[in-house]
Amino acid sequence: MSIPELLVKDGFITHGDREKINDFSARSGLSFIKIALNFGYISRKNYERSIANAGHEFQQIRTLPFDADVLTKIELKFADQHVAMPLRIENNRVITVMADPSDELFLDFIRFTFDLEPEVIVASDLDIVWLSHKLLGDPYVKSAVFELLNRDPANSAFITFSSAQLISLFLLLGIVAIGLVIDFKNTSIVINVIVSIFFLVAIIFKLFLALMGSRFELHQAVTRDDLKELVEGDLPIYTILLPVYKEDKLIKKLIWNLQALDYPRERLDIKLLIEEDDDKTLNAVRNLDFPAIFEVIVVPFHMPKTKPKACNYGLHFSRGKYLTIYDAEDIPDTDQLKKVVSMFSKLPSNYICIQSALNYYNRNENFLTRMFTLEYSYWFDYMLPGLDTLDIPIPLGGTSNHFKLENLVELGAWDPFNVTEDADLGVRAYAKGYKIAVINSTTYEEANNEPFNWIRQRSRWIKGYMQTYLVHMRNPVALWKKLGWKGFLGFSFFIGATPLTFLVYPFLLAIFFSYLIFDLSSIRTLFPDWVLFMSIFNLMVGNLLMIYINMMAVFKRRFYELILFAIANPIYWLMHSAAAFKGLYQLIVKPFYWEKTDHGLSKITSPTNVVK
Amino acid sequence: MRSNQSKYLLVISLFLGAYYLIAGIYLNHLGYFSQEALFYIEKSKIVAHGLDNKLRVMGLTAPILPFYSSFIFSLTNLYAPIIASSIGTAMLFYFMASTLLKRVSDDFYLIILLIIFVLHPGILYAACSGKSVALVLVFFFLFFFNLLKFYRSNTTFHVSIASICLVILIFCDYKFIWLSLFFIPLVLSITIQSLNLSEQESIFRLFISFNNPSLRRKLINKTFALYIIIFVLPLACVVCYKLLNLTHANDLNYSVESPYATWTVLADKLTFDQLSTNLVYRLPEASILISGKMMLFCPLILVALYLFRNSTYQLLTLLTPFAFVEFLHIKYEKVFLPQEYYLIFLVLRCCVFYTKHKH
Repeated sequence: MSIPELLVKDGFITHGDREKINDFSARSGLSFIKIALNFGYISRKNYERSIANAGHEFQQIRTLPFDADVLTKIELKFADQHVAMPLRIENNRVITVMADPSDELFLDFIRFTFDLEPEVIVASDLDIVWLSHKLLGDPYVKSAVFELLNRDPANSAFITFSSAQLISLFLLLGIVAIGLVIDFKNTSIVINVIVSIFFLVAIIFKLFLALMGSRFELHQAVTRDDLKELVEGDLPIYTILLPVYKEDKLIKKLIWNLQALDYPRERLDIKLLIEEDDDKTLNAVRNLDFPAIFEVIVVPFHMPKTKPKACNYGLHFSRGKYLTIYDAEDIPDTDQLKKVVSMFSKLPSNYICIQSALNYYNRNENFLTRMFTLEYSYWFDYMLPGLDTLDIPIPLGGTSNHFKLENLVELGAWDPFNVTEDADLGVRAYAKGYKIAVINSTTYEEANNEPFNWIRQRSRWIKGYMQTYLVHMRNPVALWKKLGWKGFLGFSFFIGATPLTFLVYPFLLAIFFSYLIFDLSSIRTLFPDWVLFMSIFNLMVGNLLMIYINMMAVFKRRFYELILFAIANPIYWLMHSAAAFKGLYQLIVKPFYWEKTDHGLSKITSPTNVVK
Repeated sequence: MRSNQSKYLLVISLFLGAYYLIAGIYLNHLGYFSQEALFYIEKSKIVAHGLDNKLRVMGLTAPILPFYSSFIFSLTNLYAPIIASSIGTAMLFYFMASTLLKRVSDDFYLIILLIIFVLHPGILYAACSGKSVALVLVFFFLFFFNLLKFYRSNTTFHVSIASICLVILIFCDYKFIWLSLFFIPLVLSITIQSLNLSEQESIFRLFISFNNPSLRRKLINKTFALYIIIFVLPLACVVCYKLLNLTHANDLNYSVESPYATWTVLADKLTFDQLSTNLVYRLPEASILISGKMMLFCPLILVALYLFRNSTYQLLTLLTPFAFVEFLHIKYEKVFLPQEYYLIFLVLRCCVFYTKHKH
């Protein structure tokens, strides 16, 4: 009896389901078992029961010997579609691991290719996926790592500092040092003035952007009527990449969140990207006792072990017209994908990416989550729409950015050596003349609620900003020409200035406090009256404006209870500074190291305000 | 069509500015001068040629923004304050007329507005005297206009723009900081209005929301948030400015109280002398009568009140300046209420007409 018949007989799927799966299989080329297990028809536990009823038993196959010559005869994508692969020839039979021993198409393939009869070892589909990617995935993972470096080395962060950058940096340091030795007072005053002006301009620019962004807060990029016009049958295939690493606690939550998505199941192509050494997550998927609607892809081991590398790898197996990335704990608005499809159809063809707003569902958990919510509300509700309006490159957020797949591939996808690959990709897209839009849809994430975890995450972001800035400033004139003056200044202020301000901030604060507490007369000499006037103005008005912008953002989100927390921003920035120094240290010592953020720490299990 | 209209407006405003300027210079030749304008000229001279602490003069002369606006022109000639005030009034006309055109297609209203700006003695005074009145009116208009727009749109943008306008208004005339006091009931009223309740009558809405713990928390949170969004910026700016006073003049209230920093100290003393020596006035300045006088000088405000009769919070918005003016009269009882406080009602009722007009 074939496996489909067995499943129907055991009552795990209906006749109708079987028909649907067969139809889908004929259209997509995926095997029956692949669809049944990855598109929410049957859980892996139930499948194992059925197999056991039929007298088979799942074997452990990970350590089985294999023959490299046999492996050359099979393509990874084909093995993946059929969840099966040949391992070696033994006693004139091809030892073949299969999740569905009744897959005649694959058995015939073995017979034709090797001219021998197969000997089937039944194994869990996850183990076969793991083994096939480990043994056959090498060319794909090499391409995931080196594609951008080979094709467009100028845009790869493989080299952190170029020689010209190092020379300029040390030249600048040398000039400052000489200036300080020759005329300490005046040099300090000059530095002081430059820093003050820089801060003032940055802050006023941010206020301006926030006002620009807030102006359009009632503007709905996609309305409900637009959504009604979409025809379900015409919706394109949508790939969702879910790069995870040791997120076993979140797998169940992930499934619920994905099932809530309002998009036809068969047109979704969801890939859970699991690292080769991440048995925790793989076992969590194995132990699910309800049907999963995602496909597992195992990313073979290769340095650097970063999220962009995993995504690049997943890209090779993606079938969608559009593609997006979510984190495991993300809760997107249920109609987000449809909104994006509708918006892409309205936008000109040079728009290749749409960024959704990000916000947090556990905002009232502790001080840190509140501050994080303030920051994100301001960033995604005001800054990004403001940048969008002024046509300045948008540093993409880590998740919920929706791409046109073919353009993403054309751009060279993500840079695996860059730890904020998303921000980098945004700039690269602009430099190539593409545009990014912002959509009125929110994805709710889990805010980091633990200070050390927070600093780890933030140090990675800040390091990534530094990397991105260094990569694109290798040739400032060329960048200026590509982005235009607005884009260039915007890029410098957002990507370049952000780490710098956090690095300088503690020093300025220290000077201020030592002046207040110790009343050091020597500090006073570095601040002639007019510099003092400007510095005090900056200190007060700058802080005030930044606090005010944050207040505006939470006011807009109607998180009224958070409004006073905006006042705590100066303390929160100190944490940024700590992260910035850590990021700077890592940029020099281990630039590609991916600081993993632990998710699932939140105790909030029932998110509020998620579905509108 | 629209760009054409705004070009016309620009030309009209330019003519209006020139008209004010000529009138101002003519009046000046006839011997009229305002104390405030003289003060700005003197301070500009100190900055340009004087020996005093220039930074202190530049940074702590009050009201600071009218001083800066006149200072820009002082490099060329002595009519700087008049140039500033005539440009300010022409700007006010431009803002008011362009908002009018966005809402009304009928040119009749525009002509009325133009007649007011050409002939109204108050406006002429604001434009030709070289005083800060023109700037006060511009930002008073923008503040209230954005606030009234916020009632309709409920966007943070309008409320934060209103707040920024209030900051500028305060730096044009410090006394407007007292507006924040009279906004407390208003903000509460706005919040009650914005709560999602089936009851329509304001007082019952208040009753319901006070007696339900969840609604009460929401009401308080939202009232507080709205108040903060409108007033934290002006209040904090005043604190910052006071700190600058402290660091550069060793006196928190230097710019408000020192005769070196502001013209009002001496001017108020003069009017006080007048008030205490002359006993008979045709229009006495008694508390309630002030409001009566406002209505006498600007009767259309009554129509504005009538238009807003159905909504408590919009009515309260209109009554707030009355309360504010009465308060000023009580607080500064020994001096005349300056003319600008009468003119704000002229501007206010235009705001109301604009926002009330649906198209």
